[in-house]
Amino acid sequence: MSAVDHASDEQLLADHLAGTPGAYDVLVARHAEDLFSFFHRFVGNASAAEDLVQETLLQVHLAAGSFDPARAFKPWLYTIAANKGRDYLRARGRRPVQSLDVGGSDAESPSPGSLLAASTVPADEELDAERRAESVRAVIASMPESQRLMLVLGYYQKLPYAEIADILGIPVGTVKSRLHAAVTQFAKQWLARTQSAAQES
Amino acid sequence: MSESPERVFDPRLLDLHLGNLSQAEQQVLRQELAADPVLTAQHTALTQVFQALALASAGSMPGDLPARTMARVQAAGPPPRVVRPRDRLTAAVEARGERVLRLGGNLRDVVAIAALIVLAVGLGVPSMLHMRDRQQRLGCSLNLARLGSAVQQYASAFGGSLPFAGWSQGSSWQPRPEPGIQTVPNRRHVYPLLRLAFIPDPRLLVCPSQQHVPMPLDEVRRCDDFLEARNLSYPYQNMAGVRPSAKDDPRLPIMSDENPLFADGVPLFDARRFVRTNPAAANSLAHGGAGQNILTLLGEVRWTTTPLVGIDRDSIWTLSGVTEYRGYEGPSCATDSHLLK
Repeated sequence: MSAVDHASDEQLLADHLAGTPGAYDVLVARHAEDLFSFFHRFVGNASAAEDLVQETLLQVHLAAGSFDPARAFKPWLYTIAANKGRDYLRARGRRPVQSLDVGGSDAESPSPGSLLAASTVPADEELDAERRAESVRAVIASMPESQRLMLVLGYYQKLPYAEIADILGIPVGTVKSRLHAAVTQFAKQWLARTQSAAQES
Repeated sequence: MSESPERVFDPRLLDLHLGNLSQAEQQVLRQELAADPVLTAQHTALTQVFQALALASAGSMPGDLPARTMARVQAAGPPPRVVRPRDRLTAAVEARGERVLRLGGNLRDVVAIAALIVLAVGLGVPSMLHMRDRQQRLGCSLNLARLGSAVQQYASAFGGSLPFAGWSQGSSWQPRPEPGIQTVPNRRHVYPLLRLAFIPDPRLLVCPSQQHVPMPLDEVRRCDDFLEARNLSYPYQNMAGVRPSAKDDPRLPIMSDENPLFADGVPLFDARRFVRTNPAAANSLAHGGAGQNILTLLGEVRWTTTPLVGIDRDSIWTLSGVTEYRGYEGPSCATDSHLLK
């Protein structure tokens, strides 16, 4: 393993700017998979996620000279990635809504409070693991773009609150409250979906 | 979503699931979980929500994606060098074969540079001041948000009570000359947040826009009150009367920027003399009189351009129906805000 493999992201980008061969390869290898997961969950489409990973890392390459070395690399990377993802969704003209069987509107859905009042989410033995995973993905896809982004960054990408705040340009307190709202929204829609599936079966 | 998420589950449970709590915070929360069935039910439901979220694994990345990405990067050529304005100016001057600084240019150059300076000062200074004010206002709101979280943690630990340092009939929250009257400034009720480490840093109690001084950290344990009024920028709900609890109206303002009508508990006005203008409608002076940050019982912080934001649209600076203050007046109900230091 070479010294390049141990270098920090910021150092790798500086080395890449200075023309060090292989530096950017390491950076790409280090982040491509995480970026793919991020885009796959955010835009809900694997082939689009592939394109967006490439476009993001190409953009990082082209904008490397403007990177502020005083900042951390990862929030900068995800700032670019989030913008690419939003641009893609807007270019498509709609967010990747998958039709829900039930509970599309707030009025028809149970309140978040009922989730807790029930204290347990109905177990649905009939649904196998893949169907349940598909159900979760459908709920995530149906969430508003900003909440889905918050859920992906905060839960799936495991980014700290401070980094999410940096990426989205909002205070840490706002990150917490939006993530809270996103989890609540997911719980509400998922409960509606699983309850409906249980009734149908 | 019509329902406020804060009412659905305790925000600390989210931190617990995301691994954002310290060991000590986890320990406190787990003790509360063992004792509080409502919190336990929230925890159980949230655990199931996260189990569901974990089901949605992302697809596998194609193995050749990094190689394809690198091919596009290499096709784009080396990263462009960013030419900063300074570089362009230097290059332009060098191209003309002139020195960058030269005494005695022609009149047109001098006038152009002077005009640029005037323009830069005219546009830049107000812009910088505006930006500084916004940053201070934001810093202030972050402080209040942290205080709101500390108040909620305090209430959780003390059966729903808001921070309170005691009060007796012989007390006054303003200095009184009469013998036998004990002065208990209202700010003393905020002190337990600091002493019991619900607030880890005394600087959180100081608004960035105020010339205030944080309480020295090494004095915190030795004292039972702030050393001086300037150790706290934010007035707190008057605890001399009916004290609100965490279960009262969540919209109740409980802290804010500096009250412009009281200094160290002493009213700066006589309400009976102001018949044409309403002093209670004056904004805090902490942010230039433009408005004030308000912290509600729910823990929300918002910027308001009027202090008439009590539950009944009354002023948060004064008690309802009280025009003369001798230091022992307090709210007659749990929905009357009177924010005081």
